[in-house]
Amino acid sequence: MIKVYLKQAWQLMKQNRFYSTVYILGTGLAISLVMVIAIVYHIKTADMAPEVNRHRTLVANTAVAEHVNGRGTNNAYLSYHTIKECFYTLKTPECVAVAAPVGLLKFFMGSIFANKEGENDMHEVYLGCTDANYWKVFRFSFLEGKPYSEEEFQSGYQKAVLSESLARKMFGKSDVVGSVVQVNGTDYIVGGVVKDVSTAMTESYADLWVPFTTVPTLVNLSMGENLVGFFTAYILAKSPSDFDAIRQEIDRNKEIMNQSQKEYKLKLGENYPPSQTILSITNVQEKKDYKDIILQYLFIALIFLLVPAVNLLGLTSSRMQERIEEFGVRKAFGANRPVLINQVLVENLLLTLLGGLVGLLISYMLVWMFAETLFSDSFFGIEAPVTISPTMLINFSVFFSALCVCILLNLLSSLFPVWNASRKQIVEALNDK
Amino acid sequence: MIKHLFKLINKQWRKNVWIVLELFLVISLFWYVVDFFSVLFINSRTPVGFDIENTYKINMGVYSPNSNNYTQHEAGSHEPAENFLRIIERIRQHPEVEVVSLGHLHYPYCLSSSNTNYKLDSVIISTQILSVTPEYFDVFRVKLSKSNDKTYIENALREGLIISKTINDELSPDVSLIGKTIFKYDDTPTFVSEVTNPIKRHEYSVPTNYIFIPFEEKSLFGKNEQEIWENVDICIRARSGKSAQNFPASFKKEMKNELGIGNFFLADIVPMDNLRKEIFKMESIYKSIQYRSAFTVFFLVNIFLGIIATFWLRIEKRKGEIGIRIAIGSTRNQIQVQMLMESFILMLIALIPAIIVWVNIVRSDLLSTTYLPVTSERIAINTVITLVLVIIAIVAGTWYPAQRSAKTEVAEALHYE
Repeated sequence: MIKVYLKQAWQLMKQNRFYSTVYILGTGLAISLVMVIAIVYHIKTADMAPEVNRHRTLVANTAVAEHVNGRGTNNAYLSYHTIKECFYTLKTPECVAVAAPVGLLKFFMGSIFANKEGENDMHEVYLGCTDANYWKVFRFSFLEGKPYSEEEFQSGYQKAVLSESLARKMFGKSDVVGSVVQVNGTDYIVGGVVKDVSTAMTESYADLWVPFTTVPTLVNLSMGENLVGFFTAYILAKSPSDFDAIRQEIDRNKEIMNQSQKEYKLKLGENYPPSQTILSITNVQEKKDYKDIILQYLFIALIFLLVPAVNLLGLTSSRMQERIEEFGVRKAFGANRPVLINQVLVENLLLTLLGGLVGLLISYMLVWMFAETLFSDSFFGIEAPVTISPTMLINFSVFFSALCVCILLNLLSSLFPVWNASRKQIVEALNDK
Repeated sequence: MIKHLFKLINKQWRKNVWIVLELFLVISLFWYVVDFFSVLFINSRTPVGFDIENTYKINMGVYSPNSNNYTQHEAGSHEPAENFLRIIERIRQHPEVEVVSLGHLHYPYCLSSSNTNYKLDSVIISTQILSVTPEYFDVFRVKLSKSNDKTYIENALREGLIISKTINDELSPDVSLIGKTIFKYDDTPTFVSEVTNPIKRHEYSVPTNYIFIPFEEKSLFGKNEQEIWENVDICIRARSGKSAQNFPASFKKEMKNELGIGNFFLADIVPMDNLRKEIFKMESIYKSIQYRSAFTVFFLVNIFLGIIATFWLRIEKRKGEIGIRIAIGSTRNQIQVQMLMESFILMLIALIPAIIVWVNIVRSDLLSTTYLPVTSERIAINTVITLVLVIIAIVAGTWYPAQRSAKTEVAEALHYE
C-alpha cells in the first residue's frame, strides 16, 4: 500500500510543480536552521578526537577564594596548590589531567613566540601547558614520537609536542623529533608531533604543548592565599555514574584544605565541577544554567520550525481545498477518513523528505561558512580559523535528528488541513467546486 | 475600496488565516531581533570621548627564569625598574613617537578593570579607576573642562581626583564638582580637581564613570620584571601623516634591539584599533550582529515565500473574479493595486495582536539593557525597521502574482469557470 501511495505521490508532485517547489523550499528552509543548531550541539558535546571522553569527563576550572572577614573575593581558576591538595589526591576517578587555558595565556603571560634554534623567524603560537596525564584523557594522533612522561613532567624536563602544521611551518617537515625549538627564549627538545586539532575543540586546541612545570611564572601565579590561579583540572571518571561520588570527594578534600587556610577559604559552586558536555554549551560570561540553555535552544528551534510550518500550513490548506472533490469521490467508493489522511501524510512526507535533504545540504553549507561565528569561544579569543571535518557533519546522530525534524514538520503542517478537509460529507464534497 | 477589500478578506477568512498568523509571528519576533541593531545605531551617534587614530599599545615580553637569555637579579633589586624606565625613555626618543603614556589598565578598550565606589550625600556610584601619567590625556585626546595645557593637567592630576562627566552628572546634576569634595566608600574625603568630557567604554555603550589618579613610576622600584609587566601598560601616539600600515613594522624592526634591555624584550606594537575589534569580539558584538542578521534574512525569506505562494494560488482560484473586474472596466493597474492593498490590510490585521506582543516584551524586561536603557527612541526605531522590512518583503512577494493577474485575458478568465 505504501508503494502505491509513493507512486501516486511522485505523480502528484510532477503534476503540481509550483506547489511542490514552494513546499520543498519552505521545508528546506525550516530544516536548515534547526539542523544548524543540531549540528553545532553535536560538535560541541559528542565524543570527538582528541576529546574522545567528553561523556565521562568533569571540568573544574573556576574557583573562588573568599576572604574570611568578607573583605572581598578573588575569582580565577585553580592554583597549583589547590590542584595538589584537592584534585591530584582523588581516588574515585580514573585519571586527573591538568592544563592552563590556551586562549587566556596570552593575557597572563604576554604573546608567546616559538622559533627554530638559532633562527630569528618568530611564530606567534598558542601554547598548551599541561601535565603528563593530559595525554591520557585526550587522545591525540601522534604522527611521530610520543608525549612527555610523568617523570619528565615531574622533573620539569624541557620537552615539547608540536602540531603538524607548526612543525612544517618551522622545519619544513613533520619528522622533527629530537630537534630543538625555543619558546619565548627557552629551549625545548621536540618529543612528538601530533595531527592538527580543529579550533572547534576548545579544551585540546594548541600549536604546541609543554609540561607546565617548565613555566615557573604560570605555576607561581596565584592569589587568595595560594588558592586560585590559572589551571583547569580534567577529571576522567570511570563512568558518568561516578560523577556525584567524585564531587563529594572533591568537597571533602576542599574542607580539609580549608582548615589550614588562615585568610582565605576556597569556595566551589554547587554541583561542581560540571561535566564537559554541560560546560561546552554554557557560557562562562552569561552565567546561565544548563536547563536554561537547553530551553533557550529548544525555544529558538521551535520558532525556526513554527514560522515555516505556518507557511506550509497555508500551502497545504489551499491544496486540500482543491482535493475535497477527489476525497468526495473516494469516500463514495468506500474510503474512510483514516485512509485518506494516511495517504495525504505519505504524499506530503515524500515532499518533506526531499525538502529535508535540501535543508540538510543548506545547513552543512551554513555551518561551514559560519564556522568561526558558531564555534569560536568569544571569551577565550582563539583566533585561528575553525576547521570542520566531514566526519563532524556526516554521522548517524545528525541524520537521525534531521529525520525526526522532518517528520515533526510534516505532522505539524499537514495533519490539521487534511483532517479538516476529509471531514466534509460526500455530497457536499462532490458539489464543492 | 478599502471597505470592499475588508469584505473580501472576511469572506475568505479561512484561506487568509494562515498568512495572517505567519505575519503576526514574524512581526512580533522581528521587533525583538532588530532591537539590537537599534541599540547599536542609537549609541553609535554619540561621541566616544577619546581619539585612537595613530595610537598604539606597546607589548613588552619577559624572559622566563629557565630561558637562555635570563639574567638573575637579587630580590628587591632596582635594576628591573631602571631597565624598564630606560626602555620608556628610548621609546620617547624615537622620532616618529609624539607622546608616551604609562598607566595600569588605563587604555581605551581595555578588557580588565579596577573598580571602587564613591558617594556624595546619599548617592553612591560605582567608578572605574584609571591610573595614568599626565600624557594620557594627550595620547588619547581626552579633554578637561578648563584647559588642556600640559602643566595644567599635571597639576590637576596631582592636586586631586579627575572625574569623567557622568560622575558629575550623577552626584551633582547641575553644579560642577570642580573644587568640591566627594567621598570614598570608607568616607575618606577626596578633592575633585577637574572634569573630563563624557567617555564611553566603546562605540556601542553609554558613557561610563571613570576616575583618574596619578601613576607613580617610583612604585616600580623593587619589583621584578614579571611584576612590572603585570602592572604597567605602555601607550603611544605616533606623529600623524605616517602611514598606519608601515609604522608598526618599521618600529619593530628599528627598536627590537634597543628595547631589549635586561629581561625585557619587545613583543609587539599593536594599533589601538585592534583592541577595539577584540573587545567587540569578546563582548560577542560581531556574533550578535551575524546571528541577528541571519534571523532577519530567515524571517524575511519566509514572509516572501508565504506571500508569493498565497497570492499565486489566489490568482488561480479567482481567475473568474478578475475576469469580471476587467470586463466591467478595471484597468490592469487597478487590479495590481488592489492586490497590494489586500496584502497591506492583511499585514495591518496581523499588526494589532503583534503590538500587544511588543508591549509585553517591553513589560517583561526581555530587552537587554547592557548597552542602553529602554527609551522611546529605541522602541520607535524598532517599530520603523520592522514595518519597513516587512512591507518590502510583502511588496516583493505580491508584485509578481499581481503582475500575472493583471495580464489575465478576459475571455479566457470568464471561460475558466
